[in-house]
Amino acid sequence: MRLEEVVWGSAEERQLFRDEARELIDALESGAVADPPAIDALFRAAHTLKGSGAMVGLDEWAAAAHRVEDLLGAVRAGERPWDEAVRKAVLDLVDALRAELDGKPVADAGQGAAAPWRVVLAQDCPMPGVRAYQIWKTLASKVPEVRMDPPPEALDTWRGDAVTVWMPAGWSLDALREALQAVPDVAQIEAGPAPTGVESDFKPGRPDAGEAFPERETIRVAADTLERLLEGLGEILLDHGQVLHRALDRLDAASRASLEHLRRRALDLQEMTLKARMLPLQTLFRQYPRAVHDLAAQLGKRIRLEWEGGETELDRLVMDRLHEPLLHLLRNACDHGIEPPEVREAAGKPPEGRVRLRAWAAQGRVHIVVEDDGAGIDWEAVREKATARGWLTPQAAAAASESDLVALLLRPGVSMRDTITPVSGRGVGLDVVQAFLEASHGTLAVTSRPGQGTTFHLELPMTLAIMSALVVDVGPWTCGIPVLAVERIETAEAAGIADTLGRPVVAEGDHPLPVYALAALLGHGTPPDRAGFVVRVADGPAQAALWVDRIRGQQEVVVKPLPGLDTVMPWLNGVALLGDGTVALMLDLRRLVPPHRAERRRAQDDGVLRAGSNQMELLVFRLADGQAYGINVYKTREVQPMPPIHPVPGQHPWIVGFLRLRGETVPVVALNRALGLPEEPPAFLLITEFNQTVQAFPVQGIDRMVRVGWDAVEPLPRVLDAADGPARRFTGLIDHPDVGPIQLPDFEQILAQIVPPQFPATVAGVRPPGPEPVWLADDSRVARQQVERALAPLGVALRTFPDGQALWEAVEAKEPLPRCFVLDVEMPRLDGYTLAARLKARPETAGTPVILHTSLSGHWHAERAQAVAVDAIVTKFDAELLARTVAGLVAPARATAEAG
Amino acid sequence: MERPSAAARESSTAETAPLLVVAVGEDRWAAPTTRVVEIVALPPVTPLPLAPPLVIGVAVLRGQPLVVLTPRPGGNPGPVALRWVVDGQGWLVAVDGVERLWRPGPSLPATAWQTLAPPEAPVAAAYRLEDGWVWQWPDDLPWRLLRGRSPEVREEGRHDAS
Repeated sequence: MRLEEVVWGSAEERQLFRDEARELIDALESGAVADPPAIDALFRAAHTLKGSGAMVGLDEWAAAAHRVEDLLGAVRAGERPWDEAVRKAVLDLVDALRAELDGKPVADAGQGAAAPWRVVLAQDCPMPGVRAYQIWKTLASKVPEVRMDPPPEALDTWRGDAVTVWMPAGWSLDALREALQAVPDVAQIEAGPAPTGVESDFKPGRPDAGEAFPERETIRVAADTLERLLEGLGEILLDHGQVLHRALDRLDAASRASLEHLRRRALDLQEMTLKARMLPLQTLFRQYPRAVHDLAAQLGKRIRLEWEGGETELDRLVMDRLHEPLLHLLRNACDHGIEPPEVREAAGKPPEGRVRLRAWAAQGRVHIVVEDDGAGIDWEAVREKATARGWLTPQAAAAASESDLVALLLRPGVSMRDTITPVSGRGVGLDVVQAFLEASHGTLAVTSRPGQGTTFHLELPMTLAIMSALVVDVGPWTCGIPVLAVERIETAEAAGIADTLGRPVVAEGDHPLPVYALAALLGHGTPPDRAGFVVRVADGPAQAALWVDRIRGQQEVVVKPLPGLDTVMPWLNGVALLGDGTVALMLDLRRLVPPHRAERRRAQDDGVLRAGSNQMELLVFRLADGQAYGINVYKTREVQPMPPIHPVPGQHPWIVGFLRLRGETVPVVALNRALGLPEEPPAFLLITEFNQTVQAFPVQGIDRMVRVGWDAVEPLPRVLDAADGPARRFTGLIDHPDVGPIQLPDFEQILAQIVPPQFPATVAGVRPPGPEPVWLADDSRVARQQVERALAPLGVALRTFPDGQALWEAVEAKEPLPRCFVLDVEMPRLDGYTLAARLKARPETAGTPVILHTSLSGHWHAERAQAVAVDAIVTKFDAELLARTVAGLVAPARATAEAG
Repeated sequence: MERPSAAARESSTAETAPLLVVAVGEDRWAAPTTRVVEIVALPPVTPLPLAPPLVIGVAVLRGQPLVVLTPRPGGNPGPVALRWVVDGQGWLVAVDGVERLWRPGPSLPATAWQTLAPPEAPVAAAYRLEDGWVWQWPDDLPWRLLRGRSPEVREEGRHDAS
């Protein structure tokens, strides 16, 4: 089919196709002449041109692009070099497709000069399809690259009277006659292309005909022109702001009124211009039912595409980039998702698969969902692929969550197909989606259920051009926060910033909401101004309170993207120029603020991590003696190959120096020395966070992560524990079936020996509750002694237990109960979470206050603690805070008991 | 006969288009005049947080914000900037000074200078003059500085000189 024969749904659809094709053809041309050539971009352009052409039925167009795509695929895979022949093939394709856009055929594309010949069959030919096949077969035996219209694969049902064959230049009529003399029913051979003979109710004219769509009085304006209009209006507003800024005191009322009028008109025009850039998504969506139909036929499947929300409007610039990734998602759904009819029937599904394409707008963002009712993503296969490609170790692959695996699927060159089909299997696809998301500041969520299907949920800003922003000052910068993401602004004082586990939080309903100093998120070490403001934001998974120095107010700003920074600084949407000349950084909160809900969901969804599951994840590492040691993963921040360490003279002998890590000074503690092991050059640095501080430990090797139950942790045998004396160094050990014995160093105690805790003799302002019974479970003898000293000023009667299980046994034995429980979190046999949950579930102890006394930090941990409804969480080791908390909880408990 | 290097091939265009010789620290660099559309005094720069060392910040030139790049990370950016345009997108590249317009002869094969080239910025071609080397930046210098390579160019897609 020729371009002029395509039946378009609308003028916009046709224009969109032509515009996109021209852009891609330009990309092919510039990519082919660049040195070095942009192979990936070339490959993608050829791939998309093929797909777009096939989608509207341009078979020759698609075939030509396919051939070049094959060539580029071979170059990409390193199977052949980039040479002049490849470059020529690409440039030939460029010429051919441009010719097609200009109304000439794609005859020569991708195979050098070729001439068309029309082979006419006899009128009474009984089997034209068979004869046409014979013609092709005969010619292909002599000239393998011969092409024919209709192509051989379409001859099953073909009933025409003539075919067109393209033969290399130099073939004469006589030569062709001679070649085909053995084929019956060939009536005539003539030079030149076949007449089109298309019968269609709707046949738009050539682009230059100018009468195809006379129904609307419109003129077309290039997107660039609209862009320049917006920029111009932005500059007028900028000038307005500057005039106002400089001359505010000198302006009379009339001048101010004129300036205000100017501002309003400029804003109106800006809005109108912006609206002119918006297009309904159906402009894109209309193309897809046909595409899916053809794909289904190609794949031997039955697939129905349903779409809704086509009226949703999207910025033309975003839409232009959206077509390609959306097409790939649909292809994925058809090829990887929907099963063949017989497989579906065997699984109890209707034989026809369903792909749904939905769109809607909410909160200044456009949501587009592609969902299928197919087989779902085979996560095991993804894990195997990740392992085979060396991206993950088998252990990491086994432990990887689905969202981790989705991130892998978005890498370039990843395909879950082992074979290449015209539809997919080339590793082009989800990386296109990823590139689009980066450029347009969108996000993608993938959910997949085995046997039920997969959903890809894209979320895009409706426009990138203009943003209503809350402008704030933070450190040396001025930043813009999308107003749609702002939930509340309050002074830092009024926000009630509290300290939970060493992290600032504010209360958000029943949950702690993390507070981030925006300057710190931007890498600026200066602590925020206590007199500043807290802006509560919610933008997808980015939910937090941002601590800023000053609020400038809300402004409509024109956002200017900064080329090349989208991958190196993805959190930056662009910049805006403010009225006073300041450059404001427009923030993409989803890429700047650590995800909150996702983190919480992950912690809740993962059974291993759920509070009360009595389990933990352990990072296993090796020290100088070659033995396996372990640390709770939630005490670790990251692991690095050993960086340079700066020594500090005159420190504790276990301190080897410090490390500068992203503006933070981190002390480095020699674990080998602390454990009395020989000095060996370390290979890795384990950076940890607990006891509200960050510290690093050099280790010889990192082994793996294992999930273990606390019931598998054996307390240290008494003889070993005693040998350690006050300088106890181990929590316990695990005999792991795969790793063997893993010893768990007591990191808090090692730290406490370097920096001994302070014990106040009295706690100011607290009335000692007297000899009230308090039970403490902590596996560390040193920690028990420390708590005893911390609570001494209260005069409470402290009873200690060596682990959670021992305390629980005392409760079950119905011994007289205390007024308060203080529980360590990490304990052999029964951890603090699980014990707390049991105490709160038992009627006799449900009303007794429970304090979790932990070295673990992090918001997720606070939420886990919330999940088991403890009464307080105190981070180790702050003696005064612990004493105050115990006193505060014991006193009301006593009052209640006395009242009862 | 030895095949001309990619750099030499590239320099064949330079034989017709002059190069702009600029100073950056101790080194002299040549910028293609097909890409440098303007030489300006470096406007005030707003630093960008969390930026790679080669990105100094953003400067506003006639109402348009442009990313300012330096081919010398860690040092002070020079007082002069080249407005560099690739595919309609612009950047400022800060240099210490502009020396002259220059029409070079053939460049040397890459094997002659590869180990000598300054590591801070990509080199497309090199010329040996009496008083030292002139290193020619590639046309897509801003992309190379930002990503270490051209947009979308994979390592295996490159074909080198020799």
